[in-house]
Formats: sequence, structure tokens, C-alpha cells
Amino acid sequence: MLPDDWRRQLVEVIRGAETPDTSWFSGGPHLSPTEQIAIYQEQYRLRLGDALREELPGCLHLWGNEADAVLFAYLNAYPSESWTLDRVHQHLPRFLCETGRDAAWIEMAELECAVSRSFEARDVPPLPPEALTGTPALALSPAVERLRFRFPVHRLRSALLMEEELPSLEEGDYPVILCRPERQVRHLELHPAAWALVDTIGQGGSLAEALAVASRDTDPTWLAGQLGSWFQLFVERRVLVAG
Amino acid sequence: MTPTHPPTKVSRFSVPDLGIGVGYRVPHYAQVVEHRPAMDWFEVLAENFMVNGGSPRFYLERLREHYRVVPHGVSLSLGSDADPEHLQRLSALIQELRPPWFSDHLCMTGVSRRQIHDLLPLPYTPAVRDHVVARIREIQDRTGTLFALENVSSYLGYTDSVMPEWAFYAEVVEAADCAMLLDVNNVYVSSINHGFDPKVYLDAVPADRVVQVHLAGHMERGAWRLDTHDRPVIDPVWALYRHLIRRTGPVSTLIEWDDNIPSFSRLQAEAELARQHRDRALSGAEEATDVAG
Repeated sequence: MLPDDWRRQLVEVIRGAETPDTSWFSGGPHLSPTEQIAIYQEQYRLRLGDALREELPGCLHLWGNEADAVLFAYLNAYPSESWTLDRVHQHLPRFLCETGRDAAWIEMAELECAVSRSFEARDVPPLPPEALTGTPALALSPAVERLRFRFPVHRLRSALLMEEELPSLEEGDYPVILCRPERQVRHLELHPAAWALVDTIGQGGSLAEALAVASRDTDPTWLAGQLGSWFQLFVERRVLVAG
Repeated sequence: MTPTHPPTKVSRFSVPDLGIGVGYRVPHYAQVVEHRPAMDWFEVLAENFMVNGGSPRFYLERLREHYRVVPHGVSLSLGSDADPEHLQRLSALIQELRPPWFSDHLCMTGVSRRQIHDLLPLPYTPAVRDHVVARIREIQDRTGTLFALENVSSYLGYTDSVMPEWAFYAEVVEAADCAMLLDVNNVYVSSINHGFDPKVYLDAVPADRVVQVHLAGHMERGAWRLDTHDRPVIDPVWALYRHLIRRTGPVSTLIEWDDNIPSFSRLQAEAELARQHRDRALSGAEEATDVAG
């Protein structure tokens, strides 16, 4: 007889986390119970592995020959919890931190998780340019993700996807946001003051507060000369929406 | 061929015969919404569109402007417990689309916080039947929409099972008072893997509950078959399809092609082939050569 918690045990067997009790399975004309279970175990690895590879082109590049080992170590540590395959990788940055991996690996995982969130974020109407007159209440589009990297993993990922020459991962300060103009997730690498402005609005700050934060450590004359083009960019790329 | 009376629609449900459709898949999104190729209807993978926004929602909204759309899910996991978030998002999608029915599988895809994203067959026991029936009743009540239960292809069976799959399937849909999405390819694949006669299966299910048929290709793996949805439908499956249509009358039919996805024109050709097989079955011609396997 199958025990009451047969469901959980069966799932753990398919994941390879428990040894199957072959007396549960009837076998068939062509396959033994062990061979039958092996089909589902193989399909599990193929399906989950493919789902992760699709979401993580940048990570796969950085992991190189270790890619499969890292993928399946992650899946063993953090099995899929959700009904959707789109979230299978959501704990990857945490896993890489816990296992002491390179900072660039962790940042690439954070970027690729952020890309997934941005891709399916809620749609909101674009902000008309005339809305920027005066002191409008502004917010960030739900598709905007704010990221600050030590390594230019965003440049590397874009180059990989565009099949361009790959940049080196030179350590520095890289203020980045993701946005989704025309349904395509894009990154914008910003001046630190522009990133601070966006970040303050993202935290619920007013436009005045955002400008005050952006002006710290920044020459006011230079900043005043930049604001027009920054806001034009933020409207065009659907970074800002009505608050 | 022996002429017989043409079959008429026997469905107990007031749902339309949508004709022949195909699955709406990412490589074809832009082509379909921009060029509106001829197709009777589309099935959409519900989970792909149970998101807050972005590209999937855009292409679903454009699709609905020009075609009939029916959602098909893969994550209800009727053999285990309900996921509240999944159910909430699915219900919202169904309220939005207002389809004549929606569907998911007679299977389990995982348990709480442990998802394997595969369609695991269930033990065919009264206790499991009652569990699945309760889940379907809850889902139909919540959505107010007819639910169609689909049979899965399978590679294992349980020593606990006390009845064949077709008897279990029939008992579930009768007790839940829901419809059937009968996947003829799945019946064929399982018949090879488990060694039963697929016609016995098709003859045992309540024909008046079948509102939709799935057809797909599969892979030979030596003596057994793997359901891959990556190639054309094979002749024995077409023969089983005609056999079923002679029982059900005209039923909405869908070509599933989910891997190695071909051009849309190739999908259209496969759908046209399905139409020819369906018309042949509906013409009343009974063929002595319609023996599958």
C-alpha cells in the first residue's frame, strides 16, 4: 500500500532526493519499475535544466564547464516551489552567496532574476512628456529594477545576447536600472546621480527629495544641465510613470 | 469501406464545435497577430499568461481580437492540494477570456513547495478519485466555467491501482460532472507503454462528455514511446482519432506541437490534415483498416 504521504515521497523520488520503493510500481510489458521511474527522473532533469538555461544565459557563460554541476546543485538545494517554471531560478543569488561563489556570479544571477521580474511586471500607461511640467507626482514603472554592480555583468549579458565582442569584467561602480520600453527588457547604465534620483523615487520619495539626493556630491550647474536629457530618457524608456 | 449513418454531435454540454486549432506558441506570436493566418481557433497555455503584464499579455490581447481562444493548464495538479495563488490567477484569466471551457490534466505535478513540473499519473483508487473529484468541483464552482479533464501519457503504473485508467477517468468525470479533453496521442502512447488496447480505452469513455481532442506526435524509444509533441501525428493515432470521432461526432480538435516547433504554415498543414481525417470520420465511412497499433 502507498503511505498517506505518497505524493511527497513520489516527488522526492523523481527529484532524486529519496530512493524509490519499487514495490509501489507495477512495471509494464517493456520496462521494470526502476526503468519507469528513471524516465520521470530524466525528464525532471531535462525540463528543469532547460528552464534554468533559458533564463540564465549570462550565468551559464560565467560558469563555463561547471554549469551543469552548479545548476543541479542549486536545484537540489532549492527545488522549484512555484506552479510556474519562470520562478525556478529565483533563489539562485542566495544559493551562490551561501556557497561562497564569485561576486560576479552572484551579480549576474541577480541581474537575470531582475530581468525575469521586469519581463512580466504589470503594464502601466506611459507618462506623457507634458506631465513633467511643474512638480508632478512620479513613480517608477513596475518593470523598473534598480541594481548596483561591482562588475559590469549587464554589459557582458547584452554582448552575449547580441553576439558582440565580450567586455572584461573590470571592477568598479556600475549603477544600472532595467526598464521595459516596447515590451523588451533593456538595461540603462546611469550616472550615479541619475541612479540616485531614480532610486529615491523608487523608494517613494518626491521629485524634490529625489533632486536633493541626486545633487549630493554633484556640481549643481552640471546637474542642472543634465536633468532635461535624463528626464527625456526616463520618459522615452518608460522608467517614470504617474505617481 | 462500409457506409454508415454520419455521426452527429452527442455532447451533453452546450459548447461549440470550434473546428481545428493549434497551440499558440512564442515563435508564432508576432506572425499570428500581425498577419492573422487562417486558423479556426487557438489554445493558449494558461500559465504562460497568468502574469501581471508584458509581452505575453500583449500577445494574448491581440490574439483575442481575431480568434477564439481556449486556455489549457498544466499546473492544477489535481492529484495534490490546490495552490491558492495558482487558482486565483487561473480564475482571473478565465474571467477575462470567458472561454466555453478550460482544461488541465488528470495528474499530479508536485506537492506544496516541491514542484517537478511533470504530469505524473495517479494511483487509480477510490480515495484518489474522490480527491480529484472534489478538486474539480471546487474549480468549476469558483470559475463558473466548464472544466475539461485531460488524460496524460504515462510511463509507470502503481500496484495500488484497482481499476484501469479509462475506468478511473470515466468515474472522475461522471462524479465531478465535468467534460473531457481526450488526448488520442496520449492514449496511444500509454497503450504501448502499458500494453492495453487503445480502442478499449476510447470505447469506454463517455463520448457525450468529450468537448475537445488533442493530437500530437511522439518519439519511439525502442519498445516504448515518449510523448514529445515535437513531430507530426502518426497514422495509428489518426486512425484512433477517426474511431473516436465516429463516437463523439464533431468535436473541437487541437494539434499540439511544443518542441522543434515548425513554421506556422507547417502547423496549418497538420491542422488541415486533421480536418480531412475528421471529415472522413464524420462522413459515415467505416473502415475495416482503421486498426491502430
